[in-house]
Amino acid sequence: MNLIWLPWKNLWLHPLRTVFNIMLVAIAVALIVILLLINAQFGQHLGKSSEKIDAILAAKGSPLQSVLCNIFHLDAPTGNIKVGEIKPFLRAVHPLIANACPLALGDSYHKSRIIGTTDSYFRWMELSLREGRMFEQDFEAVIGSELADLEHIRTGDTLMSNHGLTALDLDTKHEHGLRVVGILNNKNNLADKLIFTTISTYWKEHDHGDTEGELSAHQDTPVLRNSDLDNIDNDKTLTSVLIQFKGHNIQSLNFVRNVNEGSKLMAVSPAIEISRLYELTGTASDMLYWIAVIIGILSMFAIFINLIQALEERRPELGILRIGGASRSLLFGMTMIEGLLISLIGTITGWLLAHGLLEMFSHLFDLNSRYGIKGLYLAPGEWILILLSAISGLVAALIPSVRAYREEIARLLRL
Amino acid sequence: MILISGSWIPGEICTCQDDLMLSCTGLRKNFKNGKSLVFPDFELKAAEELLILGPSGCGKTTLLNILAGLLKPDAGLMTFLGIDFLALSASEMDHFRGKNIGLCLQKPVFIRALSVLDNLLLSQRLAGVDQNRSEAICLLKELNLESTADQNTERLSAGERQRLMFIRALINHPKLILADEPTSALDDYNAQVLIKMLKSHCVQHGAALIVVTHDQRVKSHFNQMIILS
Repeated sequence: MNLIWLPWKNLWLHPLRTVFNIMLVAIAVALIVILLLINAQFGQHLGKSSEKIDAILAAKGSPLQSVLCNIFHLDAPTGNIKVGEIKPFLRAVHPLIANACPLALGDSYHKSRIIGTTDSYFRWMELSLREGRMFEQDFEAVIGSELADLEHIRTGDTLMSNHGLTALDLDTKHEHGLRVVGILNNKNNLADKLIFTTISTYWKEHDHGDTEGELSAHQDTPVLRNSDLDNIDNDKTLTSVLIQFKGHNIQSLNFVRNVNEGSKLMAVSPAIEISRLYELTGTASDMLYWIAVIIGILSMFAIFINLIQALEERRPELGILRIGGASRSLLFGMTMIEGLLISLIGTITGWLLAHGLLEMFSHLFDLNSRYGIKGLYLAPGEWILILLSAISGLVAALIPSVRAYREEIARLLRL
Repeated sequence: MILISGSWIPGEICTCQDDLMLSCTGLRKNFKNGKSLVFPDFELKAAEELLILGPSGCGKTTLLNILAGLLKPDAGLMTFLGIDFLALSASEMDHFRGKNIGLCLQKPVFIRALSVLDNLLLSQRLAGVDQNRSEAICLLKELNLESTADQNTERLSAGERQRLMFIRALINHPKLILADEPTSALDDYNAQVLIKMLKSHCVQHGAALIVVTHDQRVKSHFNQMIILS
């Protein structure tokens, strides 16, 4: 007969009451943990995906849409820009720009987006090959490791891509397939789920209506490097250019404004747009936090009321324990343990629930691929939450425990 | 003020200090309504037993509660095993009581969350003695409660609860056994068995026994009595 056993057995004298208390704690903890996990992972996802990109040049439209499309591959492009407009920014000798990478977007394979780009993207983003080689011809593709593993794609396979980015476009298949020539090493970022090919592949897939002369001029010359674009017709289009500055000085700070005021292009600062995105989602997130905190406080009250009621009901039993030799401190400790047990069981249940649910939703709604959110992840601050939850159980048990401590045996036994 | 007169039967006070177990002198308890109970002096040696008789409301249970340290008297001295029992601090009192006093209350109370056997093992644990499962089973057997060992105490009959309470009081081999109306819920047979068990325990472990009752069936088993009036 262990003394820790008694508070545990006492809890189950009224199973419904105890389960209700545990559920309240669990719901509060689960809500907070889910918010912690989403915020931490989504923030990390946003930061990781955009940390190297200082500006985006794209067609005029919504700046946020442009960031979502060109960095996070979530939204549709704002439009097309002409090669002639972006050529100056792709020059290796540009005084402000350290890295520039053109992108052609708009096609997909299943749920993965196809990115038309140059070798600059791979150098800049430090992407290396796990197997195979880089694309050297049009209609060759290099794919992310996660996509390869998930879809069981091997080098040499051919992917029939779709025109468009959404499920509605899935039926519009292109005539030519993309032959996989390489698979990238895992980077734990968006690149793991993408398909890369040449920009010229995009043009060949899309420029059916162009004149024969235009097509034939570059048909056999794949665009592999930024410098290859120098020879391309200025009227050819692509989606955007990602830019990294050489340094953060006045000129680079003015870059976005200057482009927006002096050209047909739209220049966007991802950092500013992401902070705007945070502002938009922050209010909803804060509201959920407060709801969770209120449920947490309610659960503390429920534990408090449960223990007070239990104490009232068990007064003679406490008296018997004292007669048997239990000290006041022991009764205090046992009542505290009851509160601690409820909060600990509730916390562990809520914690498991949060991680389990998020993992399930991550699979169901593809949260991991799209937003970098999964359940099997430990957010910083989770252990603090567990500690706080345990402490809240002790705080709720404090007054009932003090009452158990202070009562005279004669009063407990109603002598 | 109500003065309670007490008398020893056979009327002798033991003066032998060697095996003196319990000594009470000038015990008095005042109540808020102005009523005051004054108890007779008495002493008990090891293996001696004392019956306290008297009509309802005469203070039998109050005296028992004072002897158990559950109520503080307003005056008087009480020495138990050579210790000034009333001078002990609350925690010392709890510990001392758990180890040395076996108390049977008028109304049996058990820990509802635990089984019959676990209630007995808890009692051993609280008194700080080694938990002896086989002894607990043996005592249950003696009072015909063996089959209830794993049952919840809530499911026991009044008689079974009363017998279980005695087992709990005896399981730690206390030096003083205090029993309040121990036979009130028992039939003649079980009342006889219980009293014999209590007496044999006292002889075996050198304990003193004080029984408070108005049950006349018990009277013949005791050779020392106090009649409170």
